[in-house]
Amino acid sequence: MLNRYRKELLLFGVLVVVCIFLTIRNPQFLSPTNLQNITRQIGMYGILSIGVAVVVVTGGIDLSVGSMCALLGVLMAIGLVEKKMPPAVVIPGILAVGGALGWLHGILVSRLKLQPFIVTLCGLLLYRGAARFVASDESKGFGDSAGFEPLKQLATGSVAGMSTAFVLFLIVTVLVGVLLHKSVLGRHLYAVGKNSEAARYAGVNVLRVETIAYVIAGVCTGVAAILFAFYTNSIAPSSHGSYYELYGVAAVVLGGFSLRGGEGTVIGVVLGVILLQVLQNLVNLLGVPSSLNFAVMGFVILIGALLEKAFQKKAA
Amino acid sequence: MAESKSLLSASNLTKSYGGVRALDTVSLELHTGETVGLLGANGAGKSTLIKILCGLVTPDSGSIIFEGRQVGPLSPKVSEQLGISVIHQERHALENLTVAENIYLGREPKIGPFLDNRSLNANTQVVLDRLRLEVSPSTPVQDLSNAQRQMVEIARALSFNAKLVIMDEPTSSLSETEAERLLTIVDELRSQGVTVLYVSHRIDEILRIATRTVSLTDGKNSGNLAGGEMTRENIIQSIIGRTEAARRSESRTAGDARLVVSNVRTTKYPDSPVSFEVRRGEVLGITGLVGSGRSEVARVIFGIDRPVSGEVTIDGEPLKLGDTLDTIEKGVFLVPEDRRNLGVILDFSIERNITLPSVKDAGGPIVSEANSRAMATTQIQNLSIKCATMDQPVSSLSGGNQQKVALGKWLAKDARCLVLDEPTCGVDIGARGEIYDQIDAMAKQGLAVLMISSDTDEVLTQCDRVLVFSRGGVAGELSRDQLSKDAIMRLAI
Repeated sequence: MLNRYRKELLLFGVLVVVCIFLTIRNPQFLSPTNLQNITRQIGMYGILSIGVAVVVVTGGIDLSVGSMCALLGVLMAIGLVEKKMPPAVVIPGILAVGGALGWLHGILVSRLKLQPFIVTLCGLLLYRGAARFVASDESKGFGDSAGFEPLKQLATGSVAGMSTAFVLFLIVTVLVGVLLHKSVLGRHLYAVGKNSEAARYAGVNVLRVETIAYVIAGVCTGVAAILFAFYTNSIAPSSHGSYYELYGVAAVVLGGFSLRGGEGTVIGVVLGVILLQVLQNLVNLLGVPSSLNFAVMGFVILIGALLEKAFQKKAA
Repeated sequence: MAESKSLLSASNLTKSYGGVRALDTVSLELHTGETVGLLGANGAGKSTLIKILCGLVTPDSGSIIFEGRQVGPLSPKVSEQLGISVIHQERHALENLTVAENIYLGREPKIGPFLDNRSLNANTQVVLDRLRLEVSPSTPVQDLSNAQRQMVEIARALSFNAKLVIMDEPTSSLSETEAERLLTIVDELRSQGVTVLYVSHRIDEILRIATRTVSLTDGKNSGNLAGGEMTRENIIQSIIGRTEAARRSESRTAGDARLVVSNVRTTKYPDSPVSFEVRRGEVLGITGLVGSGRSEVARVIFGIDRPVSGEVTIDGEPLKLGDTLDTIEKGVFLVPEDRRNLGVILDFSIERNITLPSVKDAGGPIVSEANSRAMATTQIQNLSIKCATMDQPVSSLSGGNQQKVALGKWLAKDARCLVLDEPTCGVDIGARGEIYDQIDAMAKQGLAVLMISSDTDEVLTQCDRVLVFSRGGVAGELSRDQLSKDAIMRLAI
């Protein structure tokens, strides 16, 4: 049991140490405002990362999620503000577009046997361009958000003292957790990630399973895109969502997933996301120059990978 | 022979793999400038012997004298330096490089730090001329035919000044005319004083080019034939073992046809349509030499490969060829030959492997953990899989127990026909018996069992009827009364 969750325990240990260190250096860390703020970030990036995690389980990768956030955000703002369409149409519509784009990635990867890196890299470029084109390269937003208050609550509000985004993240976590660890599809996802040929020989519908993984990532990106859009309130199509795909992949890798596929747990991604956001917070709270933001992230992931290798050797 | 200078003298070579003796005190004498045919059935020890000579495998005991000097432990490097070159069955040429680059890979002539392309091509041309090969040194290997690639490999061997060239089934993937060209080159090598050890199942080729033959059976020397004694009959006699395995005492009764294969032509052997049927309650064996097209047919039945043409039905229902999901849906299952890559998912637990094909049958999107574990427990007991827990990865099991997992995953489902490709390859004696018992039980339940095997003893003892494959087609059918090693070998060659 302990051995099975070795990676997760290790990560949890690191997280606790970082949190204690941070609290000692700056007690502000535990202030309600800071916690509210950090859980909101965790919620939004978390939903995005969990989608990426499902794809990584199959041995794929999704680099398109950042640009897709920009495209979906712009589309949503145009739909709600400029076209004055009802939210009951726009919100499901955005999720559907996210799912459809994911499905397209899935088809290209599974049926046409294109490499996931290439497919989603093209997505990254395509959706960014599309977002800028659709928005005529102008920021789209909700202004004083008159009429969208309930929707805005999703991103900025709170439920029972917890930020709404974090609550949504918990719901998505439970759903994807059940999917990955309790469902038939979950077993098939891991089987495909471990050895897709052997899975095929065992009667797993490999093409379908792979495609579904990308659809799930697309829908998760849709949910995250809605939250990010209302959180920033204004979407600059050329920069909104930049590097989000790297936050996603970083959280997944930090969470103990192998990019070769077939490995990793939902608990792992959750811890990975939390650790990344706590590190961001650390940079702010300790007055580390914010230019070092990414450097800190990179350093911690590298240390994580090294520790994991060291433990692996010991276990073997 | 004009020259009879000893080139290589290997004596008492013995090598065991996990308790199984692959080679048992085998000796081999080779003289300068002769072409010796090395013969033996599948698993007779030819590959092990070759691997020892080229330094890939260290023998447990025995000695090798090369050009009069005792040689220490061989490594591929040492072996190459001595002048021993092997032309492997699967060629290892790098397709994107040119002929010259392949031949001089790793020892390219240089001027300072830069590649000296002119000498590279000039040196290559010299070697190619020796073989009278009409390809340019700068041709990319991917533009060459199979036979030409093989000859590039030979050219590479010559470029090392090889004194002994070992050819392992060099013509198995060549067409008739290509094979003819290769044989001419072997003659050419002999005239240049190069010794050739020629491994082949094709007796015609051996008769044509070999100056004498050495045979192995069950890892032991089983007779050397000098030029004058080399006849088809003598060669066959020398590779058939003397011992006949004990038959299964009871015979099974076969019912009506369940799996019917009609005129299936595989992409590898499009000119050989294959037809046969497997009846209810029988174990049909398919044997033949490696590469005779047996596994290709299995893959077509299971829907992995699409055939050029043909039809397969189960209980009269046609299978959608090329659609594995449909095949499994209809109760036709395959336990593939490549156990570690296709038969099981090594990093997955025993439980997950066994339940993988049937986990969706329970209905509902959520896995019932209790059901899944019960299913695994049943198969672990049923097949006596030796493990500490069902949660340990299959990679931690012995080969035999891995194979039981590969088989067990189908037993949890409703089967009509089971295709087993080399079911006991690399499996220890104990597990073997348990697998045979399972096969017998399935036949008794009315399944149609198709067993593909290179192991003649296994075929003799376990099958009710046997098809012998040769060069992609059915060379003959043997009923239980007609079965013997002799009969199988005659059809296979």
